[in-house]
Amino acid sequence: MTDLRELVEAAGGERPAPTAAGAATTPCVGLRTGGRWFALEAATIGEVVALPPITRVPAAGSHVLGVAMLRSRLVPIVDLDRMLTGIATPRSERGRVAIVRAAALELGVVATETRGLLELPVADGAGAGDGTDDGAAGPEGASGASGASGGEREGVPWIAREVQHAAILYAVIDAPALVRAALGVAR
Amino acid sequence: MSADTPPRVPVLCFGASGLRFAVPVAAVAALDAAAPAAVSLAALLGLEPHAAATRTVTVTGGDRARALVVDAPLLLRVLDVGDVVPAPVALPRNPAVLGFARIDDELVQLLDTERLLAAS
Repeated sequence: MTDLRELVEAAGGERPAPTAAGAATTPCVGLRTGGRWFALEAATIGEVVALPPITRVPAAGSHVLGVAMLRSRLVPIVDLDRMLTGIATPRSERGRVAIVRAAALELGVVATETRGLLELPVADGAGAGDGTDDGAAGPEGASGASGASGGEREGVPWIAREVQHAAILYAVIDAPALVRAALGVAR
Repeated sequence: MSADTPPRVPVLCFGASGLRFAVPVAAVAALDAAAPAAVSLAALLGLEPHAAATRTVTVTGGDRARALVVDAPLLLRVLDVGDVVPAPVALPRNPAVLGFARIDDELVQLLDTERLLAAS
Protein backbone atom coordinates (compact mmCIF):
# COMPACT_ATOMS: atom_id res chain seq x y z
CA MET A 1 0.00 0.00 0.00
CA THR A 2 1.24 3.46 -0.82
CA ASP A 3 2.77 5.21 2.12
CA LEU A 4 0.57 8.24 2.21
CA ARG A 5 2.90 10.20 4.39
CA GLU A 6 5.83 9.82 2.04
CA LEU A 7 3.60 10.70 -0.84
CA VAL A 8 2.39 13.87 0.78
CA GLU A 9 5.85 14.90 1.92
CA ALA A 10 7.19 14.32 -1.58
CA ALA A 11 4.48 16.59 -2.84
CA GLY A 12 5.50 19.41 -0.56
CA GLY A 13 4.51 18.31 2.93
CA GLU A 14 2.41 20.74 4.90
CA ARG A 15 2.84 23.73 2.65
CA PRO A 16 -0.59 25.30 2.35
CA ALA A 17 -1.94 25.58 -1.16
CA PRO A 18 -3.95 28.62 -2.14
CA THR A 19 -7.50 27.99 -3.29
CA ALA A 20 -9.33 29.88 -5.97
CA ALA A 21 -10.72 32.11 -3.25
CA GLY A 22 -7.22 32.73 -1.95
CA ALA A 23 -7.63 30.79 1.31
CA ALA A 24 -4.75 28.48 2.25
CA THR A 25 -5.58 24.81 2.64
CA THR A 26 -3.86 21.66 3.80
CA PRO A 27 -4.49 18.09 2.63
CA CYS A 28 -6.40 16.03 5.15
CA VAL A 29 -7.88 12.58 5.40
CA GLY A 30 -11.48 12.28 6.61
CA LEU A 31 -12.45 9.60 9.11
CA ARG A 32 -16.01 8.68 9.97
CA THR A 33 -16.61 7.02 13.33
CA GLY A 34 -20.29 6.14 13.42
CA GLY A 35 -22.03 9.48 12.82
CA ARG A 36 -19.04 11.71 13.44
CA TRP A 37 -16.54 12.99 10.92
CA PHE A 38 -13.00 13.80 11.88
CA ALA A 39 -10.11 15.03 9.76
CA LEU A 40 -6.40 14.51 10.22
CA GLU A 41 -3.68 16.28 8.30
CA ALA A 42 -2.45 13.80 5.73
CA ALA A 43 1.16 14.42 6.73
CA THR A 44 0.43 12.80 10.10
CA ILE A 45 -1.01 9.63 8.56
CA GLY A 46 1.41 6.87 7.74
CA GLU A 47 -1.09 4.64 6.03
CA VAL A 48 -4.71 3.51 6.06
CA VAL A 49 -5.29 -0.22 6.31
CA ALA A 50 -8.22 -2.60 6.52
CA LEU A 51 -9.27 -3.33 10.08
CA PRO A 52 -6.65 -5.81 11.34
CA PRO A 53 -7.05 -8.38 14.11
CA ILE A 54 -6.76 -6.54 17.42
CA THR A 55 -5.39 -8.12 20.59
CA ARG A 56 -6.78 -6.64 23.79
CA VAL A 57 -4.24 -5.60 26.42
CA PRO A 58 -5.06 -5.71 30.14
CA ALA A 59 -5.54 -2.33 31.78
CA ALA A 60 -4.91 -0.41 28.58
CA GLY A 61 -7.96 1.83 29.07
CA SER A 62 -11.39 1.41 27.54
CA HIS A 63 -10.59 3.59 24.51
CA VAL A 64 -7.48 1.53 23.71
CA LEU A 65 -8.91 -1.46 21.87
CA GLY A 66 -5.60 -3.26 21.98
CA VAL A 67 -2.63 -3.73 19.69
CA ALA A 68 -2.44 -4.85 16.09
CA MET A 69 0.49 -6.30 14.20
CA LEU A 70 1.25 -4.15 11.18
CA ARG A 71 4.35 -4.79 9.12
CA SER A 72 6.01 -6.76 11.92
CA ARG A 73 5.46 -4.10 14.53
CA LEU A 74 2.77 -3.60 17.16
CA VAL A 75 0.59 -0.51 17.03
CA PRO A 76 -1.89 0.57 19.73
CA ILE A 77 -5.40 0.90 18.30
CA VAL A 78 -7.75 3.51 19.74
CA ASP A 79 -11.43 4.34 19.37
CA LEU A 80 -12.14 8.09 19.09
CA ASP A 81 -15.83 7.68 19.94
CA ARG A 82 -14.91 5.96 23.18
CA MET A 83 -12.54 8.79 23.99
CA LEU A 84 -15.31 11.32 23.35
CA THR A 85 -18.44 9.60 24.61
CA GLY A 86 -17.52 6.20 26.02
CA ILE A 87 -19.53 4.50 23.26
CA ALA A 88 -17.69 2.29 20.81
CA THR A 89 -17.37 3.08 17.12
CA PRO A 90 -19.54 0.67 15.13
CA ARG A 91 -17.58 -1.91 13.16
CA SER A 92 -18.29 -2.35 9.47
CA GLU A 93 -16.98 -4.28 6.49
CA ARG A 94 -15.54 -1.00 5.25
CA GLY A 95 -13.85 -0.45 8.59
CA ARG A 96 -10.34 0.96 8.42
CA VAL A 97 -7.51 1.91 10.71
CA ALA A 98 -5.59 5.11 10.06
CA ILE A 99 -2.04 4.94 11.38
CA VAL A 100 -1.19 8.28 12.95
CA ARG A 101 2.41 9.29 13.64
CA ALA A 102 3.01 12.32 15.79
CA ALA A 103 4.95 13.40 18.87
CA ALA A 104 7.40 10.53 18.22
CA LEU A 105 4.57 8.09 18.86
CA GLU A 106 2.33 5.98 16.69
CA LEU A 107 -1.21 4.75 17.03
CA GLY A 108 -4.05 3.44 14.92
CA VAL A 109 -7.44 5.13 14.84
CA VAL A 110 -10.45 2.97 14.06
CA ALA A 111 -12.80 4.43 11.48
CA THR A 112 -16.07 3.21 10.03
CA GLU A 113 -14.83 4.59 6.73
CA THR A 114 -12.18 6.97 5.47
CA ARG A 115 -12.19 9.62 2.76
CA GLY A 116 -9.36 11.59 1.32
CA LEU A 117 -7.64 13.67 0.29
CA LEU A 118 -9.63 16.67 1.43
CA GLU A 119 -8.29 20.17 1.05
CA LEU A 120 -9.33 21.82 4.30
CA PRO A 121 -8.53 25.38 5.34
CA VAL A 122 -5.55 25.85 7.62
CA ALA A 123 -6.19 27.04 11.14
CA ASP A 124 -5.99 30.78 10.55
CA GLY A 125 -9.40 32.14 9.82
CA ALA A 126 -11.03 28.72 9.82
CA GLY A 127 -13.88 27.67 12.02
CA ALA A 128 -17.13 25.82 12.23
CA GLY A 129 -19.65 26.95 9.71
CA ASP A 130 -17.48 29.76 8.48
CA GLY A 131 -18.40 29.24 4.89
CA THR A 132 -15.09 27.69 3.97
CA ASP A 133 -16.69 24.99 1.85
CA ASP A 134 -14.76 25.45 -1.36
CA GLY A 135 -17.17 23.40 -3.39
CA ALA A 136 -14.43 20.99 -4.44
CA ALA A 137 -15.31 17.39 -5.13
CA GLY A 138 -16.09 16.14 -1.66
CA PRO A 139 -16.74 12.71 -0.28
CA GLU A 140 -19.41 10.94 -2.25
CA GLY A 141 -22.50 10.13 -0.30
CA ALA A 142 -21.97 13.07 2.01
CA SER A 143 -24.89 13.06 4.36
CA GLY A 144 -24.48 16.54 5.66
CA ALA A 145 -24.95 15.28 9.17
CA SER A 146 -22.18 16.20 11.54
CA GLY A 147 -23.36 13.56 13.99
CA ALA A 148 -22.06 15.39 17.02
CA SER A 149 -22.68 18.74 18.55
CA GLY A 150 -19.98 21.31 18.90
CA GLY A 151 -20.70 21.27 22.61
CA GLU A 152 -19.69 17.65 22.78
CA ARG A 153 -16.30 18.60 21.44
CA GLU A 154 -15.77 21.63 23.64
CA GLY A 155 -12.81 21.23 25.91
CA VAL A 156 -11.46 18.24 24.02
CA PRO A 157 -7.77 19.09 23.73
CA TRP A 158 -7.13 16.98 20.65
CA ILE A 159 -9.80 18.66 18.54
CA ALA A 160 -8.21 21.75 17.04
CA ARG A 161 -11.20 23.22 15.23
CA GLU A 162 -14.25 22.39 13.15
CA VAL A 163 -14.48 22.94 9.42
CA GLN A 164 -17.44 22.66 7.08
CA HIS A 165 -16.51 21.04 3.78
CA ALA A 166 -18.77 19.58 1.09
CA ALA A 167 -21.75 19.59 3.43
CA ILE A 168 -19.92 17.72 6.20
CA LEU A 169 -18.72 19.20 9.46
CA TYR A 170 -15.26 17.86 10.22
CA ALA A 171 -13.63 18.00 13.64
CA VAL A 172 -10.01 18.59 12.72
CA ILE A 173 -7.74 16.61 15.00
CA ASP A 174 -4.53 17.93 16.52
CA ALA A 175 -2.53 14.73 15.93
CA PRO A 176 0.20 15.23 18.57
CA ALA A 177 -2.44 16.10 21.17
CA LEU A 178 -4.52 13.07 20.20
CA VAL A 179 -1.59 10.68 20.45
CA ARG A 180 -0.56 12.06 23.82
CA ALA A 181 -4.13 11.97 25.17
CA ALA A 182 -4.81 8.46 23.90
CA LEU A 183 -1.62 7.03 25.35
CA GLY A 184 -1.61 9.11 28.49
CA VAL A 185 1.69 10.77 27.69
CA ALA A 186 2.51 14.14 29.20
CA ARG A 187 3.65 16.87 26.82
CA MET B 1 27.28 -20.06 23.06
CA SER B 2 28.77 -16.61 23.29
CA ALA B 3 28.11 -14.45 26.32
CA ASP B 4 26.39 -11.95 24.02
CA THR B 5 23.88 -14.43 22.67
CA PRO B 6 20.42 -13.67 24.03
CA PRO B 7 19.05 -16.56 26.05
CA ARG B 8 16.35 -18.87 24.75
CA VAL B 9 13.64 -19.02 27.37
CA PRO B 10 11.25 -21.92 27.87
CA VAL B 11 7.78 -20.55 28.52
CA LEU B 12 4.41 -21.98 29.43
CA CYS B 13 1.58 -20.58 27.32
CA PHE B 14 -2.06 -20.51 28.37
CA GLY B 15 -5.21 -18.50 27.91
CA ALA B 16 -7.30 -16.03 29.88
CA SER B 17 -10.36 -14.15 28.70
CA GLY B 18 -9.76 -15.18 25.10
CA LEU B 19 -6.17 -13.89 25.11
CA ARG B 20 -2.91 -15.84 25.21
CA PHE B 21 -0.27 -15.31 27.87
CA ALA B 22 3.06 -16.89 28.75
CA VAL B 23 5.26 -17.11 31.82
CA PRO B 24 8.79 -18.49 32.09
CA VAL B 25 8.82 -22.18 32.91
CA ALA B 26 11.26 -21.33 35.69
CA ALA B 27 8.42 -19.46 37.41
CA VAL B 28 6.01 -22.42 37.26
CA ALA B 29 5.85 -24.45 40.45
CA ALA B 30 2.99 -26.81 39.60
CA LEU B 31 0.39 -27.64 36.97
CA ASP B 32 -3.14 -28.78 37.64
CA ALA B 33 -2.44 -29.04 41.34
CA ALA B 34 -5.47 -29.07 43.59
CA ALA B 35 -5.65 -25.50 44.79
CA PRO B 36 -8.91 -24.39 46.36
CA ALA B 37 -7.49 -20.91 46.84
CA ALA B 38 -6.66 -20.48 43.15
CA VAL B 39 -7.58 -17.12 41.67
CA SER B 40 -8.59 -16.38 38.09
CA LEU B 41 -5.78 -14.90 36.02
CA ALA B 42 -8.39 -12.98 34.05
CA ALA B 43 -9.69 -11.35 37.23
CA LEU B 44 -6.15 -10.61 38.36
CA LEU B 45 -5.50 -8.77 35.10
CA GLY B 46 -8.82 -6.95 35.17
CA LEU B 47 -10.27 -8.91 32.25
CA GLU B 48 -13.73 -10.36 31.83
CA PRO B 49 -13.85 -14.07 32.62
CA HIS B 50 -14.21 -16.22 29.53
CA ALA B 51 -15.89 -19.61 29.48
CA ALA B 52 -13.24 -22.18 28.67
CA ALA B 53 -11.74 -25.41 29.85
CA THR B 54 -9.67 -24.32 32.81
CA ARG B 55 -6.43 -25.50 34.33
CA THR B 56 -4.61 -24.47 37.44
CA VAL B 57 -1.04 -23.21 37.23
CA THR B 58 0.93 -22.33 40.32
CA VAL B 59 3.46 -19.61 39.61
CA THR B 60 6.16 -18.06 41.72
CA GLY B 61 7.46 -14.53 41.74
CA GLY B 62 9.74 -12.92 44.26
CA ASP B 63 9.02 -14.71 47.51
CA ARG B 64 5.40 -15.44 46.59
CA ALA B 65 3.58 -18.34 45.00
CA ARG B 66 0.00 -18.40 43.78
CA ALA B 67 -2.29 -20.84 42.05
CA LEU B 68 -3.94 -19.26 39.01
CA VAL B 69 -6.93 -20.50 37.07
CA VAL B 70 -6.12 -20.21 33.36
CA ASP B 71 -7.68 -21.43 30.13
CA ALA B 72 -6.51 -24.44 28.16
CA PRO B 73 -4.61 -25.36 26.14
CA LEU B 74 -1.35 -25.23 28.06
CA LEU B 75 1.60 -25.30 25.70
CA LEU B 76 5.31 -25.43 26.30
CA ARG B 77 7.43 -23.40 23.92
CA VAL B 78 10.98 -22.11 23.78
CA LEU B 79 11.10 -18.40 23.15
CA ASP B 80 13.84 -16.96 20.96
CA VAL B 81 14.72 -13.29 20.78
CA GLY B 82 13.31 -13.27 17.25
CA ASP B 83 9.92 -14.26 18.61
CA VAL B 84 9.67 -11.17 20.79
CA VAL B 85 7.81 -8.17 19.38
CA PRO B 86 8.68 -4.85 20.99
CA ALA B 87 5.78 -3.22 22.75
CA PRO B 88 4.64 0.10 21.27
CA VAL B 89 6.17 3.13 22.95
CA ALA B 90 3.94 4.41 25.76
CA LEU B 91 1.35 1.66 25.38
CA PRO B 92 -0.79 1.79 28.52
CA ARG B 93 -0.96 -1.70 30.01
CA ASN B 94 -0.97 -3.73 33.17
CA PRO B 95 2.57 -3.54 34.59
CA ALA B 96 2.67 -7.33 34.69
CA VAL B 97 2.62 -7.39 30.87
CA LEU B 98 6.34 -7.28 30.05
CA GLY B 99 5.93 -7.47 26.32
CA PHE B 100 4.69 -9.54 23.41
CA ALA B 101 5.81 -12.48 21.35
CA ARG B 102 4.67 -14.30 18.24
CA ILE B 103 4.15 -17.93 19.18
CA ASP B 104 2.44 -20.39 16.82
CA ASP B 105 1.16 -17.42 14.76
CA GLU B 106 -0.56 -15.96 17.78
CA LEU B 107 0.26 -12.80 19.68
CA VAL B 108 1.12 -13.82 23.22
CA GLN B 109 1.53 -11.43 26.15
CA LEU B 110 4.57 -12.15 28.31
CA LEU B 111 3.89 -11.89 32.01
CA ASP B 112 6.28 -10.91 34.78
CA THR B 113 5.15 -13.18 37.61
CA GLU B 114 6.79 -11.05 40.28
CA ARG B 115 4.77 -8.00 39.26
CA LEU B 116 1.69 -10.15 38.75
CA LEU B 117 1.82 -11.58 42.23
CA ALA B 118 2.78 -8.30 43.83
CA ALA B 119 -0.53 -6.91 42.59
CA SER B 120 -2.57 -9.88 43.86
